[in-house]
Amino acid sequence: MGEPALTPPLFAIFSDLIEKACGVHYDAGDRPILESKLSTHATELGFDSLLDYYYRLRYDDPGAVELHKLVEAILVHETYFFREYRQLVQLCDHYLTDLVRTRGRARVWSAACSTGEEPFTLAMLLEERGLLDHVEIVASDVSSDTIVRAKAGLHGKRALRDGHPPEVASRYLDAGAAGYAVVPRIRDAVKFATINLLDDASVRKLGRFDAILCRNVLIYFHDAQILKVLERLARSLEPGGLIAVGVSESLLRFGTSLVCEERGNAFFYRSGA
Amino acid sequence: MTVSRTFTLTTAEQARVEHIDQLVALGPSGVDELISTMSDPSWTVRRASVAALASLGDDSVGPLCTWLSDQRTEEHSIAAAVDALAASIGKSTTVAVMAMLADPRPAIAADAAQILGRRRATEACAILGKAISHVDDNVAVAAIEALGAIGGSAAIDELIAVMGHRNFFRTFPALQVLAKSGDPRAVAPLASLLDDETFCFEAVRALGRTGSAQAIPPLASLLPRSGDAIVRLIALALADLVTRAEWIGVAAQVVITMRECIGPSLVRFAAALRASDPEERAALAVVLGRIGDESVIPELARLLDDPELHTIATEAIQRIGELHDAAQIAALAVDAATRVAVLPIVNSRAAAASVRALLRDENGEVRARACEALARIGDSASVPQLFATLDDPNPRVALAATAAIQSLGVADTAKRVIAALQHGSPAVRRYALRIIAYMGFAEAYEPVSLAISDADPRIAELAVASLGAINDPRVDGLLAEIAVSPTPTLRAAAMRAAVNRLGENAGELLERGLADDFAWVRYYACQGLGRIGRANAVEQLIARLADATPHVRISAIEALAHLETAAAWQALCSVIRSGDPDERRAALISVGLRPGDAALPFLFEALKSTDVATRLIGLSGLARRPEDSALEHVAVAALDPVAEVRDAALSLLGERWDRAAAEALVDLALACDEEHPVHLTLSRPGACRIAAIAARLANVDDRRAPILASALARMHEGSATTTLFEALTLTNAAARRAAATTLIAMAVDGAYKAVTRVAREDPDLEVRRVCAALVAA
Ligand SMILES: C[S@@+](CC[C@H](N)C(=O)[O-])C[C@H]1O[C@@H](n2cnc3c(N)ncnc32)[C@H](O)[C@@H]1O
Repeated sequence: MGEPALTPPLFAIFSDLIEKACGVHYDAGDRPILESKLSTHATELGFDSLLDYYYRLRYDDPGAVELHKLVEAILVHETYFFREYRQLVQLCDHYLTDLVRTRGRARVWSAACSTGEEPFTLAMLLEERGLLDHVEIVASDVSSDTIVRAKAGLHGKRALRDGHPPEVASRYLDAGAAGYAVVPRIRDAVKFATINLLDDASVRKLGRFDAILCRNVLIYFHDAQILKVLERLARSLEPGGLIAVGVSESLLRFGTSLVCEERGNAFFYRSGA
Repeated sequence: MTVSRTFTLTTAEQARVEHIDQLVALGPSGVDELISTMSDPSWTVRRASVAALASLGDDSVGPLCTWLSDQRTEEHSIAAAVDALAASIGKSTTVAVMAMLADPRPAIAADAAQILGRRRATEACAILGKAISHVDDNVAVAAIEALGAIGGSAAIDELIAVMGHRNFFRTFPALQVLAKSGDPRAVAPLASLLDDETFCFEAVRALGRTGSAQAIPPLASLLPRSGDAIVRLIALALADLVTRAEWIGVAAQVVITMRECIGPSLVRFAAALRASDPEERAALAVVLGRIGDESVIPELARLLDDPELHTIATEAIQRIGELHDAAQIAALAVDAATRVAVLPIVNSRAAAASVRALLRDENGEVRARACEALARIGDSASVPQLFATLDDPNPRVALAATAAIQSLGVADTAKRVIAALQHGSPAVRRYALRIIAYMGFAEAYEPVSLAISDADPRIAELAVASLGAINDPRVDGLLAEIAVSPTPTLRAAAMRAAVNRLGENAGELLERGLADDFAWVRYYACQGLGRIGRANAVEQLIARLADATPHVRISAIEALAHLETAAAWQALCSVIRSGDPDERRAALISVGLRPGDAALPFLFEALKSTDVATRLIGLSGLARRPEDSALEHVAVAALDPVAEVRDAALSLLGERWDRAAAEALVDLALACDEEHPVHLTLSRPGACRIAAIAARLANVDDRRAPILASALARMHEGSATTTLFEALTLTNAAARRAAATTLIAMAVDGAYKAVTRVAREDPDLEVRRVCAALVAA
């Protein structure tokens, strides 16, 4: 049996299926990557044709089990500690500190947290400032596999890269032969959940937040999808709350109700409400 | 009228737009009042007014020019009049506006220049060239920009003269236009600005845009006397230069010059990577990829982590690897990301041992790509290790090993694969069965039939499915038994296997499968009957169109595609408008597979669908259809806003070998901007495309001739180059000039001699001058 081939119409059909499931959009240039992932899954299920596999996903996949497996396989979980660090520092120093001082508490949501390096970094920064007990950190991702790994707090060597602050890292990460273990105080400070940003009801259940980190995930979405996700996130913000996106993701072209503002020297989007 | 009504109009605005519609209907007598609507306070109404005046063509040209010359009441209305003349469909428009360019009042002359530029009025180049030296800066700049918009290399002398004056306002726009002119005379004056602090930076970038190898030595001459900032700026220019040269079809020559001039400073370019911004890093990676060797790979490898630079860094590493075997091996030693980047191009036998070692790499993608590379290298010595890799915990890797084993196909594969059927790991047994299903070893009959009783249901299924490929007389009987097995998945597998068997037995087996309780049995039975073309099953397949299970219905639709009876056709036509998108698409695919023009209306309609997959299916149905209307529709689809559709249409056009398709490609290339992928398709070598380009070269203008000459150069093929030489003798001067410029840039044998002769003997002065400049450089 040769490897099943992804023709252009099949590519369009699968990209549509995947986009509906998790928002991730595939461009024509991504066809080889998608082809390799799809054929691996199709073959594992015993199919030699991707069209047969598609019908299996579409018409014979109770509980969408196979679709979830496919989605798990195609998501990009690239992340590391202290990624886009300055923005997190500014969030603490120019927003959360004041909020805790005036209100006594704050809530932050890391909305596509992958294996947890992002919310753990935030927890470390808050701990450094003596704020950790006053800030609730919720972290979620559509991928249940990554959430399992995040909860364990064990990370590979590439989770720490050039340019990180060595003193902070050494205080909260125990280095071992295979990588790093997050110290229990930090690990236990983050509540993890599996949540799809496209799923209105689950997002709503989380309640409202003072700040939402939605970094390096919108780049995988198409504009129309980004707008819907942003509306959903904006509804989850407390009045005046902030959204942080990745450095390469500007939201200015969307003309949403969110106002872009600079705090310290990092950019955030503030809820206008 | 063509104004877009997507903006929400107030009722009052709506009324005014409707009034404009009525005025258009009046023709010439409505023009004066229409002109007054250009001052409407609403932007949307003014857009309607502009569209109306433009659509009236010659009837509105005189009044608009008079208004613009004598009334010019306010900014909005002036802008509207300029827009209307720029878009006017009148035959007299360009001539009337050229007259305005002579107006002594600078504001009017500047408007005229702008309009001529936007109309891309090639006939105005000469007077725009004169306007470059207008006393008023605004007129001069408008004329320069207009020449830039028109393109080509008209008024080159006047533009070059502006370089000499170093007038801040005029020199900047002029150097941009010169850079894009493609004229060999542009490089020296641009290079002369490198000494001037005011213009140096812009001149560096402009030299990059020329795409000319001649621009490289002046850029390199800056290196010894400048710091890292200039190195980065030069990298930006060189990256542009290579891109442009690739477009012109002369990248190979440019890279040779780059190696000579920039190669000695390679270390500086590699070092500059660390302190630069992402755009500069991308440019540096392009440069290093073109002129670097294994020494720069570790620096390039650092960029792989950055998602924005990943592709460019991968390309750079691959380019270096493609040129130097030593770089392939060096890159394999860097880190996982670099190995992933370089493995897809590793093709050197010298690297085989290093690649084999990677079958045990920590990173799964590296292991998978190592399998692919071993197959590419043809390293049959790796087959034992590939068999061992079937046990890899990562299915992508095991699958890649399977594919590599299949492609390497050595003498003892059968023996090894049969041994693998006894492996303790069910996954290995499954991969072994896949190999058997692909390669069909007769000696595998016994072990495969034993595997049908494997406790792992997936193995049992695969064993049944792979029976189909085994050439043994016992297979048909065994399949018949399995087709009535109590295990539904085995029955389904028997249907899959039956497709590969010929003869009456298989047909009957599949027909019986249509009545099975298990949906997948019916699914594969339909599929099989279609594939073996069993015409007497049509009625039973039509009955399956009412199956309760959606995928069985779809499979029946697909099967009917292969059965060319009237009843099958009727059935397909009835489901093509089904409510289920998958059924609709399957019916469309099936209809598209039918020869004859009855399918065309369905396929044309599909091209208008909002669903991308449906448009793609429509297109594939049009492949290889001889009708003119089919070709026209494919050509329109090549302009589709969705890249997948556009690319599919272009690939259909590129795969055709007839003159009509080649002409459609030429038309598209002349109409589309340089970034459009049609240019790549047109430059696929092929006699039909060369002939179509040669015919069109006889009458294209100065702006378009270089597009065709470049397409020929990008073919990198003898007869395309011959066509360029032949173009030196065409009666069309624009073609002679473009061919001469391209041939010299390609540095092909005989080009210098041929162009020297043209420089001496051509009947056209401008062609002689261009050729003289080419040979002098
Ligand atoms: C590249 S990672 C970014 C991780 C982290 N925010 C950072 O900046 O390093 C993107 C994550 O988005 C997650 N993701 C993608 N689609 C999602 C969706 N629809 N809902 C929630 N998470 C999603 C992926 O599973 C992945 O873990």
